[in-house]
Amino acid sequence: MMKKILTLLWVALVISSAGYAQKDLMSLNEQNKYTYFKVGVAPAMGVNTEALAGYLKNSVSGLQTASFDGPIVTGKGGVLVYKQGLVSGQEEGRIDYKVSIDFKDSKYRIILTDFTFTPYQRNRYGVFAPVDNVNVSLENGSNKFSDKQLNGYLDKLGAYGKKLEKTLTDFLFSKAAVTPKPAGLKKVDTQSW
Amino acid sequence: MTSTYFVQAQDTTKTTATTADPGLTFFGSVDTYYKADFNGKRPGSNVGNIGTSFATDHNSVSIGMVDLGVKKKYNKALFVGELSFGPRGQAQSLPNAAGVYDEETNSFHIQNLYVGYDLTDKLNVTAGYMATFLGYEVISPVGNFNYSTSYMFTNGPFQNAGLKFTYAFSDKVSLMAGIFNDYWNVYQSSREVSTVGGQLMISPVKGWTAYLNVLSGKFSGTEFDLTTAYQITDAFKLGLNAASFSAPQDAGGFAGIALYPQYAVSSAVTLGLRGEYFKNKTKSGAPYSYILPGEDVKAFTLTANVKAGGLTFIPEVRLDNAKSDGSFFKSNGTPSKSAGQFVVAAVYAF
Repeated sequence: MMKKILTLLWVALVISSAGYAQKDLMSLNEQNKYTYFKVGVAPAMGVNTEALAGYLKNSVSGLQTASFDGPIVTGKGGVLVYKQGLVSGQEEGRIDYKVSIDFKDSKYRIILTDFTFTPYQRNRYGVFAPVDNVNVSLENGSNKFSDKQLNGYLDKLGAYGKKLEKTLTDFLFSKAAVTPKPAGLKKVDTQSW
Repeated sequence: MTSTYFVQAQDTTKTTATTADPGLTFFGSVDTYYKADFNGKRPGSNVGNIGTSFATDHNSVSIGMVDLGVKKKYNKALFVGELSFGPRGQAQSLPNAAGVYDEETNSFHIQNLYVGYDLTDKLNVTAGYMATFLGYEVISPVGNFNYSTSYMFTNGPFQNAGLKFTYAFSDKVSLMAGIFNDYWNVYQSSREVSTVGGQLMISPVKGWTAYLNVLSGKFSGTEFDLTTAYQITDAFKLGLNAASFSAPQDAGGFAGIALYPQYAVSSAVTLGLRGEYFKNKTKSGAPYSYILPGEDVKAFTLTANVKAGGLTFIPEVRLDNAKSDGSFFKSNGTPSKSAGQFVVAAVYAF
């Protein structure tokens, strides 16, 4: 019996620590803003950033815009945060972000930053919606959410960034990632037989 | 104890991205209060002098309502069902099936029952029995800062059953247009679906939202309404509500304006004042919330919200001053120009 209890406790600890470990994926940038920052290996050949932008917009839930400008893909998105209680699961707010992905020397660099939190409240129709178009940067939200909530948001933003990065790498190592070379024509000598 | 978890936003344009089903969401509240009217009860009644929709009972620990709602939004579809039980959630805010406000016979207890669908990223359609889109104040104590209600709220619509389309040009501008049952608040039309309504929402700057509303029908009359709130600083918020109602067949109407300055003295305590001017435009006929035809009233309500988690403690003092005697009564039963009350309420929202 004791062994079963200890096993269950160990499993619960592993599950909970796995969730909280994602906060370690977040860091502070030069402006002291929360940032998901990763550099990874990209294909040696040029990346089709137009195709990448379209792929990300269709594949990443919460990504609202994605555009490309040469070797850089940028976008904006938002994710809902839910309060978890015994019987609730209500929208607590929305965290908006900016993302940029660029390429150099067979490497990609992905940055998610500029996180802003928009609190939600229940309105007269029984749905949870933004309050008076008020939002606050995640770094300055001490009067909108507690430290515990902030830690929860950072955990999940880390997980979200990781998932977005996985979507990026899935694309990079597929055929659509490569910028097609111009079709070269074979040269022939018309004088030869 | 609640913790926070994270679900990716629902994005209806993504054909391949998967979003987690958030499941059913439950919400609601309970509220209770004690009120003391400075002049005692109105002659021949159990209620105080001031014609507020809720917190009506004088010198009584009374209940408001138990409010229970369930909703689900997944991808493009949404439904909401909200029930209420208790004086505030029954005869004080809902008609019964026959369209009558009667404590003796049951109502459906339904505050909201509707479905919605995102036709596109910007266009939504919603149909059913819904809280009205007009006005600053609402039925739920969770949605109001003050516990007693304004005259404009009490005398305006509470619900509109119908069909409406909302187009979001951006997160700063949206437009709603709809058709509704011929009378306000009722669960079924008397004859036809003939009331039209519209709402323009604008958010000129961060923290400021304004709604221009109109609701008009040959049986329900016409009301124009402006509702706006501006979170000017982190601590200070200013709200404003102005409305003008004309009853059908020139049967009178009302007009009013109210300001709602609120100041957060701490993260847990906010003080607010409601200053309202309300006029009964009717030349002869029925009063509006005891305000006689041709009369007007100025009402000042000082309220505090003291929050602890889901619980809000609300002490409130209100003083109403009419233009002349007759709308209110003194404790000895003689007509009076003024009335006042003290209320202390507790609201728990979940």
